[in-house]
Amino acid sequence: MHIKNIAIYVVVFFFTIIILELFLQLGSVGVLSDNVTDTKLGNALKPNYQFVYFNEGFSVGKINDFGYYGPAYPRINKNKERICLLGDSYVEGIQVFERNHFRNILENELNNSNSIKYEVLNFGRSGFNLNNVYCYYNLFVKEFNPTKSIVFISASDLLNNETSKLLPFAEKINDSIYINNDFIDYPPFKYKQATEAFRGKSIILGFISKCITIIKSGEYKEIVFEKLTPSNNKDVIKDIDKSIKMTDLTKSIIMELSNQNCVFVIHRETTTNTYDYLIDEFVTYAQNINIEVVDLSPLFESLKKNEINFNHWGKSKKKGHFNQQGHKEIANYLYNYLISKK
Amino acid sequence: MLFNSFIFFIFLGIVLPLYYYLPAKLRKPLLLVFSYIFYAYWDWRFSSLLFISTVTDFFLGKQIFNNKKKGKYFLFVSMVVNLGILAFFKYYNFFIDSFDALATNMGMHLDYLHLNIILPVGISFYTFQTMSYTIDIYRRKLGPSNSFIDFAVFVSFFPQLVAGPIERATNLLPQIQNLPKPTKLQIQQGIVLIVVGLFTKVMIGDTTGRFVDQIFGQPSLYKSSELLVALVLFSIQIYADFSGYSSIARGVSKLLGIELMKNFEQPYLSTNITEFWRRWHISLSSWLKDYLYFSLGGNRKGVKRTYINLMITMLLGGLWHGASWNFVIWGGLHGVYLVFHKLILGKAKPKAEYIYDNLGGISLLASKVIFTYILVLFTWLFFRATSIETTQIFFSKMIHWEPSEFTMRFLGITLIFMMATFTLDLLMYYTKTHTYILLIKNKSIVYGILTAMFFVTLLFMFQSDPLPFIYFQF
Repeated sequence: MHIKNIAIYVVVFFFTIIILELFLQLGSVGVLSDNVTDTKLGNALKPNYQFVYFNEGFSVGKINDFGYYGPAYPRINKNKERICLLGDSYVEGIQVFERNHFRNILENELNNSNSIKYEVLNFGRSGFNLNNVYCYYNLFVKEFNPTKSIVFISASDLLNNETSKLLPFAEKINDSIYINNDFIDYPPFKYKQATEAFRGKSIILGFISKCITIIKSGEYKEIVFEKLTPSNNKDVIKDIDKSIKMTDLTKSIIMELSNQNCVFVIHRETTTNTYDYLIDEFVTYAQNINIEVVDLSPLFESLKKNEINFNHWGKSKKKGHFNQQGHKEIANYLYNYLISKK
Repeated sequence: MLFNSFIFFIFLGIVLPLYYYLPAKLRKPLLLVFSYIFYAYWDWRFSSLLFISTVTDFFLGKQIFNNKKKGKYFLFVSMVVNLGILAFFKYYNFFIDSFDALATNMGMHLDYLHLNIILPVGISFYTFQTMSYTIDIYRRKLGPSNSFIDFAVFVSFFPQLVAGPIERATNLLPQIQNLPKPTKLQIQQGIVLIVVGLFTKVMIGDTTGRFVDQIFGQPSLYKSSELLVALVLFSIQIYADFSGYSSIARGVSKLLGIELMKNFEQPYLSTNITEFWRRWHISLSSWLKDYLYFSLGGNRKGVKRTYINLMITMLLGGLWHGASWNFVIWGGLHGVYLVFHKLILGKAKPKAEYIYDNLGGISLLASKVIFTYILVLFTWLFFRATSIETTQIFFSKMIHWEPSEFTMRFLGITLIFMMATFTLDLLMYYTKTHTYILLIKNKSIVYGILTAMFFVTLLFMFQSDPLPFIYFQF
């Protein structure tokens, strides 16, 4: 009888978990993994993945059939001016609805004021640095035949070229840049591939994984003990090592991307300004080799001066990525730049 | 500390073993000390207000009882002290700002009278609770408590201190005076209420709240169908949030051997607005009926006066929720609904039980439930909107309809939450108990369901920011 009761308990427990998993998925209570392993890209966005995002902002959206954000423009470019946006989470911009994203606003403005039709594609990827962007551009974005590409850079992109071992990375060998795809043989990548079928398919398992991460990082103390947790001076700003310079690889990547009709948009870190001197170094380098650079700093300074909030999120009280107003301002700024260049 | 927080479970983990294993005579002081610790966790300074209210009504209660002729004056003093504290902390700035708006039109300014006042948590709840004590003594329904500790525990009893249910002294005080240990059934019921309440509050209330807060926070950014969905989700959020919290309060009380009143009885299954107010926030609506509506004369002074009394009660009931004209409008709308319902009913009383045993009858039932829900849904707009501007944007977008590319996505999400809430409510409605899970004979099934629900809820709590309980702001 005792064993029978235990068996009943276990069956009912897991059955209830399954029902709750269904509820969580249908109610968009949690998030499933939005990426898939890819033998070319390492880590690609999952096509047709629907998401509900809550963090700084709130958005509901979808990754299109081709594995990038926004409308699904196919690889074949039907004689339209095609602009591809590249960068990190600031370009990805899933903090806002697609209709408020600067991609959409820019595209509408260009099409409303020109006889030539424009398509603007969003290839932003959260966490990508310049090395990742370079690989992504050459391995994926180029297939979409951009007329022009806009690469967003911040100081952290220029800091170093370290990248995840689960992704392809660019390296310089004898004055040429090669894309290394050793990640394919990397055991953690193989493990991810082998477990793809069931990994990232359960919200509850995702919760467990996140909880383990929180416990390992020690952040659980604040969650459990709240205001009884002693403060640990998180806000201490570390000294900046100003001896760090742009590497030769970074400079070569910039040169090559520029040769492929890429324009660089620089934005100084909106939350910290610790390595912004690298942006100055980049600007000097860009001027010396005559490459196109758009500096968003004057725009942000002007917005701050006029007390227009572009990166503060009222509801979540967080500060960082561009909010709806920020996206609107960037779209207008880029529009004016592109029109001036025609 | 919030019920949906780990620190509260640690707190409970300390209180309960001490409560069970300490000698009986030490249980009341234990409850008193820990109730004040619970309250002081928010802000220790406001414990003094709780103490003042306790001391005032303890002594005034005795005076009211012992002085038949002058009892009215002592009652008046009790009202002044309690309502004075409430009025100052909750409504002072509201009235100053309202008068300032009027004065500005006449070229004067009163904004210098505006003060930075922090609203003490739970003040609306415990003030009403202590007032019910002195009023019941005056009405000779209750004798005064002879033990200050008993009364202090009654006022500060932590499970219901900050968000109700607003208990009557006739129910709670005798239980505190005796303080029996909980029975095995109470412990089982308590655990069920806590687990189901926590699930309801966190997995339904908080998760719907994320959508609601974002959309109502910046309504101009959203399309018409998205705003409408946010309103429906808010109706789910406020119910799940508040009923979940009340459920946890009842559950914790049961673990201490105390029975609190039910605060909700499936309100969205009501067939008319009068029934809704017998099922929604029962402790407040019954308090307003017994101490305000009846004191104004109830329905004993003619039809017109009945309607006036009803309107006053609902307007003040709205104001109780918050110092904002939005809440007054919300209360006023419900007052209008109730008056209309009384007009339609005429001299007939609403039926306590309806029998629907054919398709026509079931269709009629469904349409009454849906119609009542829509009436209530409309009022939730004023309850949730943080400003008149939000309400205006909402109405404007309903009139100038903007379709959304996400209508079906949002509808799908809303449907899931509605089904979850509806299922839980139907189970309570047909089993006539909030602890319906205990009706399952095989306890392994009960434990399996409860532990799964608790496990998932804890996981969610651990890795997401908790939303505060909506009614804390009241």
